[in-house]
Amino acid sequence: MTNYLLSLLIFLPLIGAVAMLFVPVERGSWFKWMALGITSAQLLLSVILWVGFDGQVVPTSWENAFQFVERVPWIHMQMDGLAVLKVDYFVGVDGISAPLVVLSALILVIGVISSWKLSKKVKGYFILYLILGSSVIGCFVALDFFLFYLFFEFMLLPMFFLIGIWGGKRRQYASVKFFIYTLVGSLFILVVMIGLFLNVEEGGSNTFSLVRMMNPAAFVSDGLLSDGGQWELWGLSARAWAFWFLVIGFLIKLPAVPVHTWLPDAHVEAPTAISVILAGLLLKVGGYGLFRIAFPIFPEQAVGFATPIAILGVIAIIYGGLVAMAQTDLKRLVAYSSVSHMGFVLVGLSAFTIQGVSGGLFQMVSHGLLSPALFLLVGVLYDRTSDRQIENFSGLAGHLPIYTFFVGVFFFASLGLPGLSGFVGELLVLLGAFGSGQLAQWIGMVAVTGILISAAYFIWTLQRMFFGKYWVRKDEWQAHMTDITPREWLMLAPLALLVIWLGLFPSTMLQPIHESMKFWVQHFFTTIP
Amino acid sequence: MNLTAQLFQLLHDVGHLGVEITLVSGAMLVLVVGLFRIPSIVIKGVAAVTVIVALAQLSPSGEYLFGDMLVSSRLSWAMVRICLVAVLLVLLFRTSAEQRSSYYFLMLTILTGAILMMHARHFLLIYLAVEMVSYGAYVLTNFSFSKNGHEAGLKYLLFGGICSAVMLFGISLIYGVQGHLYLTSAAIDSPYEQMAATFIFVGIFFKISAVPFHVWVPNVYQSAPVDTAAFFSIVPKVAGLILLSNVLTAWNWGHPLVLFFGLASILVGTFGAIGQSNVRRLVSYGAIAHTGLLIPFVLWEFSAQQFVWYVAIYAAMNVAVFYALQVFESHGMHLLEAYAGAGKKLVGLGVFFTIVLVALIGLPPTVGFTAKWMLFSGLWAEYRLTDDGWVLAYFLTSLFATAVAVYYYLRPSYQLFLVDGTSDPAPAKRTTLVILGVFGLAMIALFVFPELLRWFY
Repeated sequence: MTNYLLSLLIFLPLIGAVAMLFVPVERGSWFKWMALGITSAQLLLSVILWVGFDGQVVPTSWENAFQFVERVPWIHMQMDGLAVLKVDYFVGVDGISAPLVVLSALILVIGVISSWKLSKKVKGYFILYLILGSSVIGCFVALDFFLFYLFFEFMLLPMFFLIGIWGGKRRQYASVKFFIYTLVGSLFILVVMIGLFLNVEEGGSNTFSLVRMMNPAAFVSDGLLSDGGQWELWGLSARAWAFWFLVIGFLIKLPAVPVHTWLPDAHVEAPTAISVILAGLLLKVGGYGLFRIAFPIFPEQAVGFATPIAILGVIAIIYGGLVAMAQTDLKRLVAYSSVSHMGFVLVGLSAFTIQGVSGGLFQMVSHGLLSPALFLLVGVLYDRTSDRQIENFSGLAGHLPIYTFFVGVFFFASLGLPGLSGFVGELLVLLGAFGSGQLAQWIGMVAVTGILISAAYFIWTLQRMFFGKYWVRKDEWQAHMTDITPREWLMLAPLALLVIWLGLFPSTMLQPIHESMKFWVQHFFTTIP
Repeated sequence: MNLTAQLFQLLHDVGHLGVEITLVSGAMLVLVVGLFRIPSIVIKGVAAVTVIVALAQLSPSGEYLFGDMLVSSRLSWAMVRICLVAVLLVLLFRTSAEQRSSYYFLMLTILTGAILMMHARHFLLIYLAVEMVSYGAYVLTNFSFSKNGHEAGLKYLLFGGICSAVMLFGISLIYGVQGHLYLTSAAIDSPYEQMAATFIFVGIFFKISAVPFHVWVPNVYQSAPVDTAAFFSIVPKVAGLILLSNVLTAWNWGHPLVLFFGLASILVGTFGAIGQSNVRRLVSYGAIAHTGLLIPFVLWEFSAQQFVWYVAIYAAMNVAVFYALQVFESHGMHLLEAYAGAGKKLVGLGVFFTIVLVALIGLPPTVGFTAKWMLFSGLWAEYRLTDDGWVLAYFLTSLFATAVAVYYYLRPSYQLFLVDGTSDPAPAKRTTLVILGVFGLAMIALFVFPELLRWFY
């Protein structure tokens, strides 16, 4: 029996967006309530999905690795000659995507709450917001490459406008930069997608099915991207080129050094809610792309190039951390800490051990809770003072105790304090890296220093802004320096609870995804001749 | 064959010129109707009915007429169908007061010339058809009756005159070598023949606005009435492409030349579009780049169906974008800076315009992506088949052009929605909004249901 849960998850926000089109602009407050209702319903559905997801099932092939599968033919363009386009609406979840779907639904609700006070062009904002939510979820559940690409591209336009219209002073610059970077990345992906489509067959015709693409036997015998192709350019085989094209496309989204420079600009200019979505979900799409597409479709290249990719991850960890330390703007600091933390995902993935990849995924989820929380905390300060320079505040702990408590929780979770979620992810990644047959020991060792660096900048920030004598730069800010409001409680408390829960009971998430992870790792060592 | 048989053959052949005859008689009728004092909408209606009748008469079957002077194929008839539909859509544009009967007369004659251009296999006929299209176009450019229009018209005339003279010279050389003027399979070997063939290509490149014979394009597209510009970006270009394909097939010579100018068109069009401050010039440079993207279809082994679908999509996007330009120009917006902040007032128009622009870039979920998909997958397959480095170069250049196109095609949307401006346009008219909305949604609908294009081929 087909279960339509995933379709509901994808299309609910889209239906909501269409419905909003017909609500007159004058009814300003309707939009946020509608958005809240829709995203809450989505969260409920995603929880049903998580509960219904059966972690006991042991996959034996990619064909049965997915649950809640829906597949119907969609765009079928049959032409004379070689051009065909055969796209299926093909969705499903496994242990990799299920946690990310739940995370997306949660962050989308929190994003709506954090946009509650918005007054500028509310209608357009929430319509774009819901379209964005729909495409993010779509990305995580698509099992057809074309469908994935469609959702991947479709995230761009709403994001472009959300930053460009509702952003800060340099919003135009930031939105265009974001757009161009991501689009260039997606063109790399497009090239490989075309190549794969022409090389992979299912039932006698070409297919975009990711499930088929992961099966080396599905490649046509004389294709450019098939095993044993003779084509070479500068010493790299066609498969290696395709692999790197995909990796570049997704690394831009992740983002990894040196293609990360759009991120700080986008974050600084984006409104708080959009920063939350950007850090919490859009970056995860990059990591997910590596998990779902780049690595499993080109397993021998992924394993062969494990070291360079892990080194890219280490560079991101160290470089992002050091740059974060040098920031004077709290939001830029958080943005760069994202770069640093996402580096762990790369290291974990390229370890090809169960701990490593589970750690990578756990790190994605954990970062997906932490960085939105950090951006919300920056937003709390910014709402009150319209300022976020670290040097302009001191001794906030005495004046804003609850705020400081949340800052403490999320800062310590981010720097990897045991008992909080960040620790679990980083520990697993490092365990995986040390135990990996693919990576040299020094990679793990250098990555560890990243934790030290993040401890340094988070604690230093804590000391500069929250300890000492209470002082703020301008006197007129004094009146606004009030502690957390109930609305802010509502956003921060669930995140804090989850961060603590996942820190204490990581098996809540790790247990159900274990079989998928095991199968994922096995894939690399069974398909490589 | 005796005389009677020849006469009967002639009579039979004339019977197959239904579309052309309809268009010419329609053109005459438009002129006659124009003599009376009647509203221009009636004249427009006569023109529209003419095109519809021509469409109804069209039967897509290949034929050899008049002793192989006119050779039609299913492909060429599909292209004619695209041109006719495009003209029908162009007639939806708002007309200015100057556009009286002679305007539609010229449009219909150009259309006839374009059809002959696609079918002619005799150089005298080819030359006449090319000139028939050109002369009408020179006059149509002037129909805005503005100083700029005259300047552009004169430039167009001078440039076109020289190109057609060069082409005529090439034809005379071919006659000297071959001893006849039929476009038949012939080996182009001697330098003499190669020179002649190159000269003939010049005339064709001028028609399809390929670099370096593109210099008239931005000026003409900018100054001519909008519907004329939309018409120019489709009908003469499609006709020129088919002619180019006929010549290439017959001679099997000149591929490197065409390839080189195609690549040059992509690059010049793309880089030329970047710095434009006038939206119409921006679109016209985009059209030059698009010429380069159309050239692979005549150069390599694409199927006829792919060619037709690509051209149909191209035509649809061009009609839509020029319609949008007309709407915005009616709000007094010509320069990019005039678009600044206007998106607040013109939300609907802005959104639909953006969809059309996204289609022109070639991003999903619009039909522009379907077109790009056919191009890229076709080039890729061709490269796999031939292992020719130039195909790969073409593939990569097209891809690069697509990436840059994002930058320039989205500049109007960027101005509309992201830049704060002082512009305070009047609210959009309901009919224009509906028409543009239909065009915009068609871009998405054709993406989801590409099979609709099968009507063309």
